[in-house]
Amino acid sequence: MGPIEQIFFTIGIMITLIGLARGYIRELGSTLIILSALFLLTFFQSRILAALKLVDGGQCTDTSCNGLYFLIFAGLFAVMVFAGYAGKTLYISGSPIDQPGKFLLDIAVGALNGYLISGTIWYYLDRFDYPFRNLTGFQSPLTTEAQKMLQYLPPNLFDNPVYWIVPVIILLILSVRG
Amino acid sequence: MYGTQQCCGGINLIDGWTTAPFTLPGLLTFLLFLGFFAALGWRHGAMREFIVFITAVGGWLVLQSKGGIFVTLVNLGSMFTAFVEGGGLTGNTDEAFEAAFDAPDWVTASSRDGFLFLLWVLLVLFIYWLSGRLIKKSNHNGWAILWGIGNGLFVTQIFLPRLMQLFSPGYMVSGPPTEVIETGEVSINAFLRNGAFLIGQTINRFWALIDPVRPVALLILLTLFLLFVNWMIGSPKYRWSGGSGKSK
Repeated sequence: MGPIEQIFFTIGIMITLIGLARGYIRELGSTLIILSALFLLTFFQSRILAALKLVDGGQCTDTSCNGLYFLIFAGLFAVMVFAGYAGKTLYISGSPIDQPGKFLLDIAVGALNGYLISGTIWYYLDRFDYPFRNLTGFQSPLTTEAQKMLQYLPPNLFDNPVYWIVPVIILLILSVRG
Repeated sequence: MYGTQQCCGGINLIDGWTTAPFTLPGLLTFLLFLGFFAALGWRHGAMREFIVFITAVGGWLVLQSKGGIFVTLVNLGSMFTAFVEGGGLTGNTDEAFEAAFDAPDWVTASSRDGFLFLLWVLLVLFIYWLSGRLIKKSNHNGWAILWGIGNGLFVTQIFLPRLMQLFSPGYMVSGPPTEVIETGEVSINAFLRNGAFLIGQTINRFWALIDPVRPVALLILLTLFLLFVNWMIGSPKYRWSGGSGKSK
């Protein structure tokens, strides 16, 4: 298995291609759901971890339950993202612009979603010290490039989790005002 | 190419230009410049902008590789004028030929670059005017904006070093024209490298500029991007629906 950044770049590119197929209008609805999911997870992260430590009754040491924690956080994120793509979701309708503007916007919004999704999964892998190493074949240390990229993973971008919900609120207010 | 040329007693102006952090006014000027050309492209239309772009690039390549032909033609004009003034058309041919061969060149080696640049500017302006008159239907769409930005980037590469020379006389002309003149070869590769370099430097400097206030700057960028995407949807309507896209 190659360096971890290659895997997440590949995931990001695949999501970009999905965005290209769906079109930027539908992708924008998914983007808003992903941003909301990021807000919820980063805002409640410390509370969820505290609750989990209470529930396990002191069974988990510092690193022994990392795999479980990763599954919970990445699982919650995956469920919300999946709902954003395939479930009961925010649907935006309207007429797209002409080519090649549409193609460029499809790529741009798809790439944003790809970055948000693959970057967040990578963040939780890193946050919980890359669990399931036997299954994934992960080898430490990370490459120099990967170490630089860590600071640009979505949950590391903003100091305040509330930042994630600001664009969502602005767009929803604008949509209500028409 | 950049970062290696020196002039003015060892002051590396180009290196200083490329590595200096982007100031906010500099960045805004660059974005304003591109925005101006994008708006100009939109207004002018896709087909007209495309023709201007092809003319600008093609004309520049031809003038840089075969510019000697045009210089020779103009200098032949100088010889013909001297020939006429020497009485060549009234029968005094020996003196006229002598005057023609002694006639000074209108375009010398030192003014060759300036002459070809002027010729290129006149050609682009003429085609810009002509395309507006001859092409009646030119779509105002994304292509028009892209060709407009392409024209802006190309013109930046040609004009920027000369503007710098105007305001800083010691500044050396760099970029594609110099490389082509020095090597005597047309280099599309150099043009593409310079274009990529210009864009890369802009992004790098922009990143360096926003780094101290990165979270807020990124929040503003993200919000502006999403607002732009939303603005690009004709009559957008938000509603909750199933995965099929049908509203419930």
